[in-house]
Amino acid sequence: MTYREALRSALREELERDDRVVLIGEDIGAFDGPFHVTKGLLEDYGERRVRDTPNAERAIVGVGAGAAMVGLRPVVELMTITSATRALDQLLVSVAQTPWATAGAIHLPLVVRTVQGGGRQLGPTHAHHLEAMLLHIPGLQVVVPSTPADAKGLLKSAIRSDDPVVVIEHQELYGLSGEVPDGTEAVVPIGQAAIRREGRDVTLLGISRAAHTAAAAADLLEREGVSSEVIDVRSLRPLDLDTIVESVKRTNRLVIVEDGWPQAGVAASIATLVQEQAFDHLDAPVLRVSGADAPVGYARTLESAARASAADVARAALAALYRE
Amino acid sequence: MFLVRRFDERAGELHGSGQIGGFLHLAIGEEALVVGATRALEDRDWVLSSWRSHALAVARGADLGRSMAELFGRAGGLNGGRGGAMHLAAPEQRVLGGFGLVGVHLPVAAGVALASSYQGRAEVTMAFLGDGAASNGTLAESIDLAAIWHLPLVLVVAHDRRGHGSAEDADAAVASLARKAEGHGVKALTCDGMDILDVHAVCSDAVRIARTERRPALVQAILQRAPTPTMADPKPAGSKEELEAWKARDPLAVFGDRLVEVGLLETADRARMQMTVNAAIEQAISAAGRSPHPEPGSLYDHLTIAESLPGWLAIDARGRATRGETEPFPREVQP
Ligand SMILES: Cc1ncc(C[n+]2csc(CCOP(=O)(O)OP(=O)(O)O)c2C)c(N)n1
Repeated sequence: MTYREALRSALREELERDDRVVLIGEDIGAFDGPFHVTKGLLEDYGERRVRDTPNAERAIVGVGAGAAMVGLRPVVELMTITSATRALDQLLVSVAQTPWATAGAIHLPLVVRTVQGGGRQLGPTHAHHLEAMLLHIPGLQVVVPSTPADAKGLLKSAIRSDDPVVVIEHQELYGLSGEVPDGTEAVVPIGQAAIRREGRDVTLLGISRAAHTAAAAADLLEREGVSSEVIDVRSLRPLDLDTIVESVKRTNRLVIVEDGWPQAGVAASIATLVQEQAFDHLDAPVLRVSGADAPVGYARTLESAARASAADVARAALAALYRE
Repeated sequence: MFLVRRFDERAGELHGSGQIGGFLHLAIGEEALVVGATRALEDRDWVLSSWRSHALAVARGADLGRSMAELFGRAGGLNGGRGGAMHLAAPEQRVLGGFGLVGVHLPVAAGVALASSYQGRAEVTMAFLGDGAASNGTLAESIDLAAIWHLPLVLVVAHDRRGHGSAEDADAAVASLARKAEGHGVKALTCDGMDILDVHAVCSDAVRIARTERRPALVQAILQRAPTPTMADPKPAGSKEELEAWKARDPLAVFGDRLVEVGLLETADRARMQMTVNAAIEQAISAAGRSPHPEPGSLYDHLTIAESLPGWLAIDARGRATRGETEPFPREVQP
């Protein structure tokens, strides 16, 4: 099953089991979803459950918030993470802070699905990686699935959560195939990292699509005789710091890989936590391989120069091993 | 009109064969609007658009080779290959962009008009949008401000009664943008977007209102884009019958035939003109193909603040790699 189909099956199963679940977003019905994730759902569940909207990101999140406050479990969709910036006031004020600001009197079981990345010359407005922007907000759970099983499992958990969750999908992963469990087996709890590969010499921690970059780097490093432990973070908030720190205690070295920007980025934040928790176990500084600190270019050469490649990660790992 | 059409048709083909990447939003069927509206402007006036931007640059007289090179993502492109079709700006022709996101350019256009007004320059700013964008709050916010401040702003809406992939008229409770505009105290005009003479007459009127009366105006041009199947544009393709029906309304063919009918254009001249345009476009395509790819090392050029922080930040590590210094692992082969 592909990542796209896995998301669809999570939506379908949750629509099936809970009438409070409604889908709201631009082009999700008649047009099957901008990336065809919601294909067929309008036909099967009708306009009451699958609701097309005009282009109005702020209103999409706002109505989701209101409906969630008083009984529904909306899954709202923002076409890209760049357009999600339009809805930041809603995410911050109405969604993330309301449960806290009402001392828990109001819960907000809202899911915001959005998608980052591009990688096919979409240029400076359609290919951002902005997970750090959402991680910044207290009160928002943020997950970044990188496999079909996690896409399904984390989305199901998100829909069942009583508190708001942002699910950041990745445009370049929609076509990725993988094993996906069924039914209750499928649920992946929010807040657990996954060790994708065990290793001794260095830990490579990947975020969103970059989990695959980390895995590819581990292959390159194996040829150099370096054994890498690869971790997929899966959930940014809550963060499974224990799994990361335990791994660092074994390997004593950490390279964090992300496609997002480096300054005030996700890797910067995790690096700080790790040095606070495991300073005595580190044999080298925690290194970050991030997307370039520049906008995303349309030209292929600029687009690829700005990306964290497996080779970049492998070089960083060698540097952490003082073998550069 | 023929130039805009052929440029788009060739761009569509080149997208199909991989020379042009990303999203390429074509203006086929919109030529009467693009040409009629921009011809209502003077050289000193400003133009902004969302993502259907290259047709406007071409209509305003931007260099064809550099426009095509931008679509190719080459260093010789109008914007150094950085923006591509969705973000194309031709500053010499006073086309400020290509802003990519729905409605993001509307307050910017109001700001451009503010500067003209503030400095007492008699320029007009024209911003193009689709009816889908009209449902976004940015339109309401921008026209409100433009009306309060008496800004010389003309908004031209390509009203095809569809948003992205949405069904006809599904995007708005009130499909008439004239009513929306008037609700904000903005003068609204309507024209037949398939008829260049009507577009030109109505847009000229709107431009006159903006220039002489110093207040915003909105033109809704009712039109039908070609339902051509293309991978370039996420708009759904129409059926064969729809395509045939559209061909009967094709603004380019209809206008050309009319010129011949009334004796303003000889059939032979029409063919000759088309040949000249075709030759110019083919020349632009080969010039674009010869333009080099931007150097990876130029990535940080033109960042207003490009600082070089130490450490394994991308700046540091990738900067070295892209400058071709030796590294133990090759970068992935580029597509
Ligand atoms: C803020 C934002 N949200 C979503 C998109 C994706 N998008 C691209 S084109 C489009 C539809 C716009 O329809 P309309 O304004 O009618 O323009 P037309 O395609 O008719 O020119 C959408 C929603 C975007 N570019 N920006």
